[in-house]
Amino acid sequence: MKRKVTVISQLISYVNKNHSDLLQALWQHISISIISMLITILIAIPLAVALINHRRIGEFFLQITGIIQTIPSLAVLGILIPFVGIGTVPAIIALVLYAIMPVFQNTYAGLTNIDPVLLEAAEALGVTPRFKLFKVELPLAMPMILSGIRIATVLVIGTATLAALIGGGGLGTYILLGIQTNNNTALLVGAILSAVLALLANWLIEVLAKVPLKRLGIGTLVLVIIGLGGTLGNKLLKPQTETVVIAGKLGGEPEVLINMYKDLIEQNDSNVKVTLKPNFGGTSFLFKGLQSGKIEIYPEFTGTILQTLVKGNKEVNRNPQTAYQNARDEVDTQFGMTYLKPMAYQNNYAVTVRQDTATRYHLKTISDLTQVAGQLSGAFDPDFYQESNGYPGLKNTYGLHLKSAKTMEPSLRYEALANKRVDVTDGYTTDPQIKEYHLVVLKDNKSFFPTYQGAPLMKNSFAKRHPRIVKQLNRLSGKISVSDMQSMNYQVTVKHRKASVVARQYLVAHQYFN
Amino acid sequence: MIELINVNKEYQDQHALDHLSLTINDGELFVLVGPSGSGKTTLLKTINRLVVPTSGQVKIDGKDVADTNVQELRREIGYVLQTGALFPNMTVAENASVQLDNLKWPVEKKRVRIAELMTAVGLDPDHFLGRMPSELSGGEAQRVGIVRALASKPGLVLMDEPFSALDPVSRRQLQQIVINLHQNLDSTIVFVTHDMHEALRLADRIAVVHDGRLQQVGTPTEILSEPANAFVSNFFADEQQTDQLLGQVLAAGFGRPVQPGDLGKKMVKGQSIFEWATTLQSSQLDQVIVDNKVLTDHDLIDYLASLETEGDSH
Repeated sequence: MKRKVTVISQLISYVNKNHSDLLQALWQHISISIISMLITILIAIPLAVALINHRRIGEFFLQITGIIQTIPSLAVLGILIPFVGIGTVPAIIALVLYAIMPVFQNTYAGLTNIDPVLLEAAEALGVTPRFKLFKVELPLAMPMILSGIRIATVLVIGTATLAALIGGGGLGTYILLGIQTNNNTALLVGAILSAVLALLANWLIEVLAKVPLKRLGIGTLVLVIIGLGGTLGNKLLKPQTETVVIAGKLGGEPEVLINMYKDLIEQNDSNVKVTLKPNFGGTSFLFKGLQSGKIEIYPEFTGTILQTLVKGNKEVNRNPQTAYQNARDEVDTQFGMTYLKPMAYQNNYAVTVRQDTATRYHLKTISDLTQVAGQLSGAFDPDFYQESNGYPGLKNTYGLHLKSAKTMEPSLRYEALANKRVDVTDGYTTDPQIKEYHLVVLKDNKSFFPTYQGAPLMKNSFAKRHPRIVKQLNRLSGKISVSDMQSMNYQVTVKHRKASVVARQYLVAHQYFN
Repeated sequence: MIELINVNKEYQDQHALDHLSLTINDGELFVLVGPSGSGKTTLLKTINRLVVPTSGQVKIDGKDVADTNVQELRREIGYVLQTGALFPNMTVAENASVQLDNLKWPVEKKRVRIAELMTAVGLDPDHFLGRMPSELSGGEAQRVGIVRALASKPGLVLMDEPFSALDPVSRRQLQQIVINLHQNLDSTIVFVTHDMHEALRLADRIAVVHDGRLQQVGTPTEILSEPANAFVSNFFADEQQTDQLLGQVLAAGFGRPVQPGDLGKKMVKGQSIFEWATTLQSSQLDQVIVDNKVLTDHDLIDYLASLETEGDSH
């Protein structure tokens, strides 16, 4: 019982804290679903009508739509990315492909199962083909058609959560965020909202089905006019502003950074409006988004650019400055992109121990650790355990030989360390758990780990057109220390405070707005 | 005038109409009668081209129906189906004016015409026009079906076993409605039925169809008195034994021609001898007039006696 109460109160406080973002995601989800359903209806119903008198082709299409239905939605999204890129468009295409079957199948069945006596009556009375279709066939098939639309709508609202995977937004963003950051509250909020939305839509269509067609048509027309009028009015009333889209990778840290970008840009120029797309996806999604112009800026690490994005030499120079210069020059020559100056903190691999271990053995550097390594056990992320940049490299460079070393899930290894089940783990220097469990990061005194420094990445053309934005973003260069970032990550990921608030606090505390 | 000339219809496994020729005169109430599967409905449907003959011609007023625009042709022909076949998504008023909508009649003219016909078939327009077909009884639905068929004042009305699904009481009422409407309109009506009572009651002329062939064409009296073959006499034999109609009384040679000054309640050939008896009982006169013939109470007694003798001879 107590547990239940905490879950519910957590949900409520999460919703309270994030309500404007949630509303936006909800609206995005609804608009993706509505657009997909409108396109589906516009395709499926005329297609079924066209095929009533061509039964053999009709049966063939039934088979085809059935086959499309069996392809996993994730695979459809994957197949579409090379053709239409990422974002809302491929999400809508995939949803339409899914929704076509129930609508087409029901419309076709509804039209082909009309009492033949009624069709004969229509024929015998010499009605026009138009009259027959709109006054006889479609109204008689309407209950079947509507149930097809109902099934498809529920399907679309459920499947639309996958849109988040390819930057399409919507409630899936929260589900994905929940899975990525182990935040069950976010996951539940996303899942519950999309389920409720599906039920509501189901109910709404059922209710609307009972309203006479004519009144329904007038109602829709009025809504469309109000909607168009509203949008147009909004456009006319609002002054000309430019919108800049800034995205971030999954997790709290990028979200804090892009909120700082937004604040700096908007405070400086009120005619620029920044749209944020936090938790937009992985590295390659963001980079493709930047190339295709879907997004204009995102924060990237020097190490990632050199190791993942640019072609050729994968070595990351141990000197942070050289690494940055290499990354900047390579993205410029290979992709025509501008990589602004990096912030102070490095988000590197780190070797961490508990405070009591550090005190007991007087540990400050990794070299110190090698002296007592024979008495300590370690647990590492599976990648770290294998990579030459990880434990094997530490063995070679420092001669670090722990009593025992095993692999462990990244999220569990900090807990294992805190619970004294192991003594040494790997991590990232800005991980909030370092603060949460009061861990000690040992200094990489031989500069073994490659350096990962963050800075905004954008196209050269964008940088050239927006010198003021470049100037604002450069104000962060050389700023934000490891402990600053650690503590901000702690606020966002552990304390679940809003990234925008945390970002704003930092900027205010460091007098960026004076 | 409707002419069917050497009309032949073959389906894959059967010969539905076998080189059949027939002429239907303007203003006639013409009944096609025959057992089920005889081809009578197929024959009816060749007139409005719901069935296209394999060979042969169908002409309306000298014009081959194959040469006319099929929708325009059908809009000028009333059609009543077996079950009424009202569109369940439309009100009675909307159903009744389907043809008028397609002929683009003005609203007010439509309203007046439909109200007039509704009254003629015994349905109060104020009460019924707003209803949905699901709220009607079978008889009411078929009345609306008749209104729908007659709305555009067609010169020709086709009725395909319209009353076969109704109970006997409704059937009789609707038959009377058809008789009345036919007397007041100058439409030609072609009526299909498998029920010889109905055929005898309604018809000016009857065509007996069997196995896709025309067996006999004639007035009810002619058919009853001079059946062309064994099939026709067997088909109507049942009629001789049970419910006797005035047409049969006349066919048996009873009655004398009407003289000037003859009085008597007018009856039709389709009415039964029991109705004859009831009429005589309630009337102050001892005779009735059917089709230019006078039938007296003596005729009734003699006719009944003749049935007894006939029964003996069997």
